Amino acid sequence: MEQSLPKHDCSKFVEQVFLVLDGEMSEEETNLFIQDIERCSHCLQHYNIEKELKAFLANRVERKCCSETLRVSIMQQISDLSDQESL
Amino acid sequence: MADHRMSIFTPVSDHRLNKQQKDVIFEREFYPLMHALYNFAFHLVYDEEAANDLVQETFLKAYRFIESYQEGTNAKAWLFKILKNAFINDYRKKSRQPSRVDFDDISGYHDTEESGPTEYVDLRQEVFSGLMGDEVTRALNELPVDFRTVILLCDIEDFSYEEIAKIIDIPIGTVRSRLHRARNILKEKLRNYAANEGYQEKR
Repeated sequence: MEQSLPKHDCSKFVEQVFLVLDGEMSEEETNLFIQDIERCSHCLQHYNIEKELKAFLANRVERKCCSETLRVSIMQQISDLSDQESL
Repeated sequence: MADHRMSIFTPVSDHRLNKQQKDVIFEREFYPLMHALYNFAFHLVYDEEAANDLVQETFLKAYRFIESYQEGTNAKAWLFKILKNAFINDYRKKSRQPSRVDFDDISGYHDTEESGPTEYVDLRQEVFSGLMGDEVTRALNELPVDFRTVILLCDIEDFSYEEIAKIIDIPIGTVRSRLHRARNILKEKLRNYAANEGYQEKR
């Protein structure tokens, strides 16, 4: 089944892993990549680590929200500018 | 590269927007992004007041240069670029410290920016099970700002490499290599935290 795949090359993993995780590869390329690394436990492990790091950053880094005061103040300033201009 | 910077405020057509059209763009496209912009600003400066100033400056500039925004296109990338430029103007020029210093501070990362990803920092998966969110936040906070910026744009805000390249005026190849190095530094930091806290770490 896997005979059609070229020989696994670990150096390719480093080149491609972020492109795959960052959504920069086509679906087809992504599937080929996954098939390829599943044949190498070393690469598969690293892939999972990178995936987890990315998920950690996306989900666990504290997201700051702007204050209501700032939101109101900005909207007021824009509204004032807009009113002045339309006079 | 200068073209990017010029083009952001170049009117897309001679067509002038009236008050109502501007109000609609702000209501529908710009105001919903205020929290994301604030989050980006805060992680660049780590100071509430400075982040407030950056977000305010971004919206005022967006209003002033709204003719150069193409309605319905990528409002998020456009506003993030304005904020990023405002940050550079307000902070980088003040210090007169070239950002390159940041890069040199990090030992072991002396390959040139354009060189492709070569090295790979290893990290055991178990490290994550012992880590809390605030440690990841801390590792991110400690990254030099150029590295932090690409992580924020890619991993937190989900911009594509092409969008990131436009937002920070660097070639896509540099986005790639900078992300690669930023992640290596992050992994090293996390590994060190884990080691310090007594998790078993074998190299």
